[in-house]
Amino acid sequence: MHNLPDKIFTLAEQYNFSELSAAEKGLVLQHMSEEEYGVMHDGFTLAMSNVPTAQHDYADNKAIILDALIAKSNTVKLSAVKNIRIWQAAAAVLAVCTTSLCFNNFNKKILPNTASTKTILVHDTIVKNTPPSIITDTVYLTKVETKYLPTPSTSVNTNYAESTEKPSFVSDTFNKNYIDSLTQRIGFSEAEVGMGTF
Amino acid sequence: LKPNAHIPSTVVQERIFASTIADEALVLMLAKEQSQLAMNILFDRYFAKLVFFANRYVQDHELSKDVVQECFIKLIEVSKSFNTTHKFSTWMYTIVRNAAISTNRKEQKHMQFTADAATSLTTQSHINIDAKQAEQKLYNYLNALSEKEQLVYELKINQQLSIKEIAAIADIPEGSVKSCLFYLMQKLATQLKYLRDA
Repeated sequence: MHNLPDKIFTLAEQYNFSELSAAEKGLVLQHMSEEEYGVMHDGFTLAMSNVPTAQHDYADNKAIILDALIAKSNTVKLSAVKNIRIWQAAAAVLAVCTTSLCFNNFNKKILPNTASTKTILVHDTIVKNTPPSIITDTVYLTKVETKYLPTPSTSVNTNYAESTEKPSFVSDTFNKNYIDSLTQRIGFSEAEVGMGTF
Repeated sequence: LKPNAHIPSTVVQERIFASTIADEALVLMLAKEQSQLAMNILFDRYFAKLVFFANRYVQDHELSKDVVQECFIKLIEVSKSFNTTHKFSTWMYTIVRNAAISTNRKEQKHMQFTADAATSLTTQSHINIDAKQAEQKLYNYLNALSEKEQLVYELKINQQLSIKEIAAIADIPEGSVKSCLFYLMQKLATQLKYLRDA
């Protein structure tokens, strides 16, 4: 029964076997007997006679559904307006950018001498860049020579202990100072030094 | 699928448009333009059928209306994600079925065929039996079916869907749908014979 043509069901819903054309009878008899077809037709007749025909009023449901549709339609329109505004804004920004780029190129290429307004930042601090000093490879050196001349030799009396004469180049004051400094350095008294006065 | 090709301007054009345009094109109109006309046509085509379908699970007509209404509102939201290669009816029935099953779980009710959901059995057929007795027997029989059989019965007999659509909604192979339908009709006819003999 899995391979029955759809047409046999359509025929069984409407006609009994005797009402079928020769071709239709042939089609039916290829798949089932006349009796089987008759039983199926009776079943369909009983079932079809029980199809409900009661009419109900669905106007309220229709109104609710159409209201929902209108609400949806308004939402869609609103979102479309929003989309246009976003699109317009994007287009405006693009147009401004494009125009400014074109204008700059026009100024540079077609009117190169046209004065352009530029903002210049002025600072009150002036930085002077001095050029680097010239470095040459010649070096001047100043040589200072000091010459020491030989001092004249003086004759010193080495037998000054026996001598009663004081050398002419030794003064009393110098002698005293010399002894004082000497005693301070070595820690002896004048008497211990034993030198006494010259 | 060109939803904007022929937008009707008069009432007559609108009726012709409503009777000819495919469901899938209407969903596209809904997704792109939030078209009220498209929603109106889809509502008129499917709302009542879907309420009856949902009622099989929910067992409460008002609750079924709410379930289907929510599904239509959900359709407004998800129409953009609708794959036009699929059938709208299959898609919508699946959504409603899932929503109804979810509600059914909350309400702790079993899928059941009840007399209040359908009109009484008509006497138009050649079957000469007591209508009320047959009706009750039929419901008893249908309620004894498995869930899959009940779903196939509901979609084929009450919703008049094709075998392909039933297979897609019930998530079973087409061959299984055909086999199920064939044996369902056989059993129904047997019940009918039993009622006749009684």
